[in-house]
Amino acid sequence: MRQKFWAVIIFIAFLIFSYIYIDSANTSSTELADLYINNAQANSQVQNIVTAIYLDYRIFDTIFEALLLLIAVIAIFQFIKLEIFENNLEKIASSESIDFSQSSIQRTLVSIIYPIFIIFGIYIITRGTDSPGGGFQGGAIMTTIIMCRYLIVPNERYDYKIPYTLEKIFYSAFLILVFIFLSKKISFISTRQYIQIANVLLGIKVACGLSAIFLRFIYFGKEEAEEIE
Amino acid sequence: MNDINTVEIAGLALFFIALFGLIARRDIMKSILSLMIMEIGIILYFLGANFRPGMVPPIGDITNKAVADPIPQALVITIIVIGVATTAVTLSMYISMFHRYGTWDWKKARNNRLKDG
Amino acid sequence: MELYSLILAPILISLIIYLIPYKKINYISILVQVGALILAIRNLMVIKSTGIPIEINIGGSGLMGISLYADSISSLFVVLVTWLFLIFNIFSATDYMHDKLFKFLFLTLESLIILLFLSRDLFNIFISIEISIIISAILIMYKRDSRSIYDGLLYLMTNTTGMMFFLLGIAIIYRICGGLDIDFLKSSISKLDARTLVIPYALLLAGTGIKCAVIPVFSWLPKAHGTPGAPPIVTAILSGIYIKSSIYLYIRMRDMFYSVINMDDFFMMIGLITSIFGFVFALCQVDLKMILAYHTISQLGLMMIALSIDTPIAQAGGMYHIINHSLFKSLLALSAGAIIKQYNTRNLYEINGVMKAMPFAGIATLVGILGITGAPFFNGSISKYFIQMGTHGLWIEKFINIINLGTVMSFVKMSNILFDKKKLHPKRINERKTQTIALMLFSVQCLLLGIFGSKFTNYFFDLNLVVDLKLYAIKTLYWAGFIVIGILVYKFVISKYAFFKKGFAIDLAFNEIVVTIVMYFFIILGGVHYLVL
Repeated sequence: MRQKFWAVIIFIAFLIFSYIYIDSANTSSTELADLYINNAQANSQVQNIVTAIYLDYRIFDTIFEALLLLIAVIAIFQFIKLEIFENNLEKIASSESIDFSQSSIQRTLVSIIYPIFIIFGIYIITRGTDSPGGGFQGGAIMTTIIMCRYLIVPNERYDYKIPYTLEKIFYSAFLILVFIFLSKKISFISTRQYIQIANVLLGIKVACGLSAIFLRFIYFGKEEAEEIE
Repeated sequence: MNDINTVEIAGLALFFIALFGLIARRDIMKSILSLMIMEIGIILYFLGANFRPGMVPPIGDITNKAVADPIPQALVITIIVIGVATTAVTLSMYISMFHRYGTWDWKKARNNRLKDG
Repeated sequence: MELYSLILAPILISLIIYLIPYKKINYISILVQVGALILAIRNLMVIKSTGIPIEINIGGSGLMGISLYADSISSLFVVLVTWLFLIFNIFSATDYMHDKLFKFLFLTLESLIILLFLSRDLFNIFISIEISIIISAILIMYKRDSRSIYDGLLYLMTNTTGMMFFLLGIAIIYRICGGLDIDFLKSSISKLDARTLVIPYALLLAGTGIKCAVIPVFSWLPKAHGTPGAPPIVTAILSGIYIKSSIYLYIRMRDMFYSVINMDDFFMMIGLITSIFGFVFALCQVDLKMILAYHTISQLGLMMIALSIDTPIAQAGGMYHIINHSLFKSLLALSAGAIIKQYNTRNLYEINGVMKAMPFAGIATLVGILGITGAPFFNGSISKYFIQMGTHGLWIEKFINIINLGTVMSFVKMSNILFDKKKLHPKRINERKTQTIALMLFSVQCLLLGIFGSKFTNYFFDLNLVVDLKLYAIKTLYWAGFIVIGILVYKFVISKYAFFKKGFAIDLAFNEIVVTIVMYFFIILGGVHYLVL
């Protein structure tokens, strides 16, 4: 009853909104877009205008977007504290690395397909300059390295601190590269090479960050199972 | 009237559906899902602006063709990452809160918080 | 050094400090902040002497790329931000600053607030607000108290919803005007009709209003700023400097749309209702931090009134009030934090005799209270005087006195803690040296900015004002009268009724908060329709 009431109100709100919105529907302008379409490929020497925008013209946005991913990983590590895990790291990782109770079809097939994922990820990261792709997209695919390994050998010991620290190292390297590029004093790398290196650094950084989140949560599930028993 | 894109209207409709989800559903998980849907609605709106069928993507050889707008595509990459990060942080906060207050309902959580002082 | 190094250098250096496991490296952060402060002051001096704002374009030239723009007002705010963060660092140099993660989040938050003041690109502002929402939510929940977790979650989700409205506004205005730079948008909006801009205006100002905690969407602020489990320095950062960036965003948005849509009367009304609600709720609180949080809402309403008036004196008064409010709100929050930690309770009626037991914190609180109520020779009086001059002749002039009276009453209630009502003769407690230094610095500033207030305003805001001594004396009499009325009202009304002693607040659940947000959006939409079109 209450929900039907709110549904009706939101529907009326949508109708009022669209009625007023139709007034502004005819005005549109493509000034900035035309500037980019005409000049971006020549100035930044890459074929993919979208990569040129987010790594060359609007680099400031990208810096803070990557910073946001870093902070999200920090937040997840802050909020989910595993005191039990820290004490019993040895007990949780058992002696046998292969868990025979899981499906062997899954294990076999994933071990065959797993290299294709890695090649696909590297392809997407490095081909960001001339065809669709880029650092963020490829980095999310590269997380599958750790995920597939976990599916094949779940009982091995994975240390989540390693991708956590690596992410910050790669982000610092990315920031230093951007600083050098922005100051325009050192001109030994051309814009195209800078975009390629920046894509690779971003991709590895995103992969490390998302792997850290994944590794944190696989032990979280195990800890709850331990508590219930 | 003939300049309105169906993609834009779909984006706005998703935004309002998500608003309904935020107002009328008491489950915290559904509120988080509604935030994600709201953001997806905005992304749809962004991508559908200034788009006409027959435009080519802004990659490669683009002389003498109608090219799709490259700026919303770059902004949408950023918005998707922001959405993922916000959802991840909200979800882990929700897990922490669930372990302390033991409820998945906004009203019960508020009552528990008021009792806690 | 360019402007962008002011923003990127703290992030890079604090990240490197975090990675290197050497302990002594902690003190480098103070050097970083001093460096940032010196750079900010140098920028301000350069802009003041040449009269030309500094503008750099990162990435491209002209419209392509993102430009950072520092004119005299925004660089003044940048100096304020760097100075305040430096004092906060000194204040907790011995407890929280040893935690490297806390320091990283602290310095990153400083960079993001500076970015919000300097950036000229609408999407960049959106990103900086989103990241600062997440960082402040982490800082609120830093000690992992159960109550702070609920408050932090509510704060995060409410502000994210507000930012979704803002983002939809950016999307629609990008489609209409074709660009994202604020200067470009301002010039292309002035060529358009008001009918086309109704929806983006309402969306952008709804998002800004949620961040500024006006009526009816203020519910997140008392929870976020008054949460019991947050470290005192986090409360000081949030209520001292972070909320000012939202008011600055309101100045920008109003300025962008001003040539086409002028809703000044509407926002004056909203500011007035917000102020009155703010101090009425503040009077009903017994929690020390909650009084400060509700009072922040009241002062935000006053700032919104001052900034919605078009005369230069009112605008200068409003911006000067922003600076003053940062100083004394941070001072009050820090001293309240120190007092709460020593006495282990937040209840106003249980803490007493602070002047005898912790004299430095007591003096600091007293200076803060004098400043915020508008005592003569303190900075609050000068900014309130300017605001009063600015509202001369408008319908809102009579109400400013009511707001000032309300402020005085709520702080008379708070000054209960300073005096020894129960005659217990408490003994002297040892206070931390770093805290004392920070608090004393603040107090001295409040005094100095009061005495040299008009010179300060004239220099930085390009005005030629002289404080009329006769009117200023009248205002001082008003202040004294308010104090007397406040004490009388307190003795005979507030301390008698149990209603005021219990602590009353409206606690909305999240669904109701979203209802208020949607209501606010439609109120603005209706307002634009009937007032402008």
